Amino acid sequence: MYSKQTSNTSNLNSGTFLLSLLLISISASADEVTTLPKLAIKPTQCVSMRQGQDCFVNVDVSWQVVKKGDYCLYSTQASTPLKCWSNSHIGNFQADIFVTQNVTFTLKSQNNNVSIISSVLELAWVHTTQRLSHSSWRVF
Amino acid sequence: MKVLIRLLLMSLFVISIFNASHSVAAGEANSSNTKNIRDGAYFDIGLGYRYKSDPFLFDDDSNGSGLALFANGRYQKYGLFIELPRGTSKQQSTIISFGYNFLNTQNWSYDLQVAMNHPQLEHRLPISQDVSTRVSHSKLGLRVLGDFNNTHLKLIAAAASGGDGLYASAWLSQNYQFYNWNFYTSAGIEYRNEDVVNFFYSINEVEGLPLYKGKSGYEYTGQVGFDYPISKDWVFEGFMRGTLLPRGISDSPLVDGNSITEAGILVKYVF
Repeated sequence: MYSKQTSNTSNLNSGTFLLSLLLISISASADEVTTLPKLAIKPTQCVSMRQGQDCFVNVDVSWQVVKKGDYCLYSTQASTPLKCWSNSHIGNFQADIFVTQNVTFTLKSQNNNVSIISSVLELAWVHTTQRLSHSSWRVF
Repeated sequence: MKVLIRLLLMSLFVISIFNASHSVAAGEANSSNTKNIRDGAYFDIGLGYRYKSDPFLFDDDSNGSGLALFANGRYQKYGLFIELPRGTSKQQSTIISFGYNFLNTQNWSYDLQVAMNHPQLEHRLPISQDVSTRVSHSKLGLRVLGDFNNTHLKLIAAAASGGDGLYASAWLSQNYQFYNWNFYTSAGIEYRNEDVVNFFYSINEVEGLPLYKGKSGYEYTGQVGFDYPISKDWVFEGFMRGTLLPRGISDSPLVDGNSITEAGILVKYVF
């Protein structure tokens, strides 16, 4: 009796587990579809010590769209594409860049040059530059 | 007499800078006579490790190496300012200072400042074990700050503890950037006249110490350091500093050596 009860409990647990798994996967794929296209930038901010300084960053841009196709990644730093992909629905681009202002990365369709999605790499700094600012001379 | 000449030369130097930039100041004053461009607040506080080695025999804590708190603060309104300069740079040995920022030009800033120009000293008398304190007083002086992109200048001429105590200093700092790392080198020369040297380092008591009178002299300081932004608010910072003391100080029975070495590494939060 005891062992049967255990077996039943076990069956019930397996069923619940499978159902949960199914629900999670459905929820995940629904999520994926609703949030696509994606363009993620890491890091999202480049921080320099003082305003006006060049900021160096190793940026990682990854994108994902629903349909496979030919896509190109652009940034506001250059008029030519950073990288292009053929017959793809995901991509990744990594580079060391110097930033002097906010940089917008845009994924465009190669066929019609239409922007699909954009993300901004923000330029930030610790000290605001102003003439004779408090930080400009470390000894007050 | 020599002191008077030095003071005169420094005054002339300051006045010449004043005159050279006066026209610029006049232009700026017309355009923004309601707001002092240095008005505002700044504060950072950091925690780190400090190494210090100095030759002062009188201060038990002077060779204190270990965990240290660093803080830099400044608040200015209508030109009136108060400062807490306890950061990583060699300061005017003052705990706190205040003053009036009376003129700003494109590259120069002029302050009347009340500050200590030498740290307070305490030493234990060998026989009675009494603690003798030499209190450092806050005195009025003129401070001129120069800002030329990555090059900074600081000039100070001030009264100091001691009868006719006189303190003067000149500092030069140069910043360099390598990726997001900022490096700097700075050098300074400080002058203290005989009155200041003897106020702090002469020995009048005969209790176990020889009588001593020192001469005026120049103290030289060199510093290198870096800072790196961890985020918009957090900064990683480090420095090394060496100071060469004048004979008037190093010859004192209260001092055993002629140099000070300091280094530190810290993380600070900038408000």
